[in-house]
Amino acid sequence: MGRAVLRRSVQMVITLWLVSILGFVIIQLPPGDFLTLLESQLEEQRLSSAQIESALTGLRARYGLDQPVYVQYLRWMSSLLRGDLGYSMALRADVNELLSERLVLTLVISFAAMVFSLALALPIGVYSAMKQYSWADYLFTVLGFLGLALPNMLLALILIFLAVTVFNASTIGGLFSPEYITADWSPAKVLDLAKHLWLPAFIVGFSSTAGTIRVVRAQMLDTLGEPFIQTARMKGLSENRVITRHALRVALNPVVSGLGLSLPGLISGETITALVLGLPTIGPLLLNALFAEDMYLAGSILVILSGALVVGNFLADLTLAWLDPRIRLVEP
Amino acid sequence: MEHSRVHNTNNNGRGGQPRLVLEVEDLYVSFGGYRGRTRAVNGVSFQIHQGEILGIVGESGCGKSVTALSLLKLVPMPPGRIDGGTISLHTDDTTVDVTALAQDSREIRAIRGRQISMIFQEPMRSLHPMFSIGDQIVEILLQHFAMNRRQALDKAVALLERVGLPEPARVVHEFPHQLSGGMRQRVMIAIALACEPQLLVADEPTTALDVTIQAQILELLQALQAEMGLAVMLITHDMGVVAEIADRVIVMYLGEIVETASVDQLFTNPQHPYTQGLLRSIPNWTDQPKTPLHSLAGAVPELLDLPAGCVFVERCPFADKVPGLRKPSLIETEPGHFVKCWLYTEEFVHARP
Amino acid sequence: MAHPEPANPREEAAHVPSGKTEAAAYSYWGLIWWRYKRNRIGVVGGIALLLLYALVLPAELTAPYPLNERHTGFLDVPPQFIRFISPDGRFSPRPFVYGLKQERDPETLRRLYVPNEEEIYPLRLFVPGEESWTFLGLTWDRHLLGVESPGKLFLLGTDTQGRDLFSQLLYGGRISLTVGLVGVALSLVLGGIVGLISGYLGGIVDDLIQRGIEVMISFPSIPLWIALSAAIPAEWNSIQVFFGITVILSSIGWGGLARVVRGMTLSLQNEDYVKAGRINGATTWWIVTRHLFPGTLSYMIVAATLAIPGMILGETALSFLGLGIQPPMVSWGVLLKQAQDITVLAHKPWLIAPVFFLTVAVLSFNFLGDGLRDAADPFSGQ
Repeated sequence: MGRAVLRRSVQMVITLWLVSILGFVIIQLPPGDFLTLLESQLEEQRLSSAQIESALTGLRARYGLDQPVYVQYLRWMSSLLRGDLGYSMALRADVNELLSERLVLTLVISFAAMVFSLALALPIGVYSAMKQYSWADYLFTVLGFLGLALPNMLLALILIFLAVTVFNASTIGGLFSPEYITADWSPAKVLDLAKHLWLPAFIVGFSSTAGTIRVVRAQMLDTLGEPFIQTARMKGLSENRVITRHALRVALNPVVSGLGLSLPGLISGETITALVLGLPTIGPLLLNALFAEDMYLAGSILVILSGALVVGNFLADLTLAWLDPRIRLVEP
Repeated sequence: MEHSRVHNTNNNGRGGQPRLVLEVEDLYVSFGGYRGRTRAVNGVSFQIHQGEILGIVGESGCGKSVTALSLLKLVPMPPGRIDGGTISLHTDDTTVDVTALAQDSREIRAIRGRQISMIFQEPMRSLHPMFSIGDQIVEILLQHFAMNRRQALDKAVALLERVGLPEPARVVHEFPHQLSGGMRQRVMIAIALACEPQLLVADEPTTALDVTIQAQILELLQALQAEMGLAVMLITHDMGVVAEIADRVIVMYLGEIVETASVDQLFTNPQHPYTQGLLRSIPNWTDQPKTPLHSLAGAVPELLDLPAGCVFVERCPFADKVPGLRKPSLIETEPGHFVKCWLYTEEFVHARP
Repeated sequence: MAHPEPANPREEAAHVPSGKTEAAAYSYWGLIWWRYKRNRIGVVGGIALLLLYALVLPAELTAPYPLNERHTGFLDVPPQFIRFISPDGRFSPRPFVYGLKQERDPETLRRLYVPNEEEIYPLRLFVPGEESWTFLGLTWDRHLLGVESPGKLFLLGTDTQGRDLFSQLLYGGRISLTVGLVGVALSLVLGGIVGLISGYLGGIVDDLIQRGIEVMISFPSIPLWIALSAAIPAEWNSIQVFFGITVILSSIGWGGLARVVRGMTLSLQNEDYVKAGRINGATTWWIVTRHLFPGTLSYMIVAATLAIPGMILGETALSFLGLGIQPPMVSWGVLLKQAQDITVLAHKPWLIAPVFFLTVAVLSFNFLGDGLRDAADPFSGQ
């Protein structure tokens, strides 16, 4: 097992490195020089030429813009690894400050969506499999197809639409009650967040819930047809025990390994949902960075998000190996 | 198992008739489908006595496995349904009709694995892939006996040794994918016999195994059966396996018993045209080289398409000489030898070749 | 002992289809088609898509009004109902719409449009428009459905600039639905080639390619699309932007397709007929073009069909955020941009209509893809 973990860790580090390179390529993609653009922007803001010059020199030194590309990459990477993202001229804010809270909220929402979708999909999937072809099974199948066809963005729009046309609401979404938006973190604020979390979690988790129901149902049906289930029944175990201890254990495997793979979709869905609902998470920040043409910030955000995903995937794989002796014990 | 409870207390003395373990009477089982109900078992009756190996043979789809699963009420319901008949299980002091028990009831679960056990065709898939061998044996012991885990694990090691696995103390911690097919079937046998049941149902236990391993598993079954005074119901499509270890044979076709006899009677004097066909399709090394292998004409009709009268009428070489559209009944042609065929009634004796 | 009722099994079996061995007579593609036709949901998806494309591709003909035509004096008009019952309560075999008259909400003083029951405009087919249009070299001045001047036909209402939403939807659908097709075609070519190479060559090349694809898949798609679309130069015209967007969409989509093709190639290589070809001295080119490519083609088509909805939605997301298709070109995402604001939706709920069309399109592609997958799977057991 130890060697397998080591192998997988090395693989993860290589993937992370490739991710950072791709992120850097994206930073370099837009035509034109980042600094010239910034200069003209700063001029519009009526800063003195000395101020502009010092800001530009600072940036040049920071990103090594007057040096070869690989030096630029190394500087950017080292600052990223040190967790120091500097000051965004374009957004005129300290990036660390901007990013940390939003990143945490993004992960909280995505994680809540995942928990929400599992909590819903597991029992429904199992029930659908046990009562195959019942009316409830058909109902969930239809819901599942809807989930496929209604990605987060459309779902968010429809919910807004319903809120204003049916419920006459004037606002929807948000993560905090007005009095907590600017407040410092406190237990009361966390509680307030928890109260507001369900809607974004529902929207982000909806399509993956639908997908997970389908996977769980199919897996349960496959597993229930396996001879080892007959063996379990033959032993005199109760049907409850056969399902929970014998069938679920096997049926859940692909679901767990699918969790890692569903993460990019969840984060992706969170960004767009945040944009539609105006949530204070990474999505709007990324869009602002792009509109302000601060490619360094945009690239860093992308790499941080993807890095979180790669690590998440790694953890999902470890969980799977821990759950399944067939993987745990076979050294590839 | 050391004291062989079953063996000692239940044999009604030397020379007496062995104790009746299970009695199936007029069993009907069907399955619902979108094209209508399929009748899988049609009025099957038989008995199994202690210490006896009863072979059930027939082509796939003849209802052997459904009959076997019915004994434990393991036929999936729905779509399956027991339409009629009784399955009486005789234990020391009581008789239970299995058909009357609900599928997940405490009563039937007390029978499963404790009174009647079953092993299946594919040892590769019959063991849970994610539990250790020990856990899988311990589970059935804890289900039926009051003992702690430690005792159960010790017993599991003893059982593994009993079924001939090398290094049982190591195997008990291994997982199914680390064992070969033959070893897994031995583990299945250990699980099935862990609680010393009266009856072991073996559904094609050797079909998925290599020929050499097949022989070993059959030997093991025979040895354990003799040792424990077990009743065994052996389901197979392989006449060779039947000849080797069965005492009595039931030949099934399309959900009905067409012939039943002792193994000697059946092989020396097969009576039903279907049995005759089956026996003739076994290759024989005394045959002249290049003799074409006999095969039964036609194919098993779909169960939905059951012939109305004699089940074998569509493939029977004598169909034009008998009233095949009427159902024959089971006739005793010699002591203990029954056949369901018009050719053995007085009326149609002349039609026999 | 009660015997079960002796139902006659022959009767129950009477409606078994006679052509049970029909499948055996078909070629490979014929078999796929035969199996697809038996999948009702898949067929529904296919037909819905055919209708949708037939409606949006010749938008010049099918839309009542030209792209971006502004109807001055008809801003924010709600959808008109098509009516069959005339004001005097009689059934009119020819459907009609009422004219529109302007009123003001007595409280909010907002401008409102209400049906004017004194003006009746029957719906007509092939109504002449104000200007003639040209599509694929064909010039004509008629529109499939409309009413005669001075009547107006706003099936889904108009937007703030007085543009007919239904017409905009058809033009926008043409862009949205072709983005998916072109994008998938691009990723199919790229993914097919890379997948074949990866699977056929194996070894270190395969390792490198697989790692690379893993990296691409580990990026969350929408943020990556957003970042990439920022790289599209501002001075590009709308056609260039259209192709830029398709390239961006397919730049991520090909990874999944390449994986499918690689997996198929790997398993096909172990097939006896491929081994036999190799032993008999077939060239790499021969094996790839004669065995591997045709063998993976059906799976590529299935994977491609299932990838199209993602591309359509990707374009919608980008355009919705203002990073995708640029005016004067419209797409469903561009149209939805108007519906972003909660207060706008409260007053003009009809602007949500593109969501409905998107859902139908995405669902249909999923149905079609599922149907094709089941049909292409030789073990689907039908």
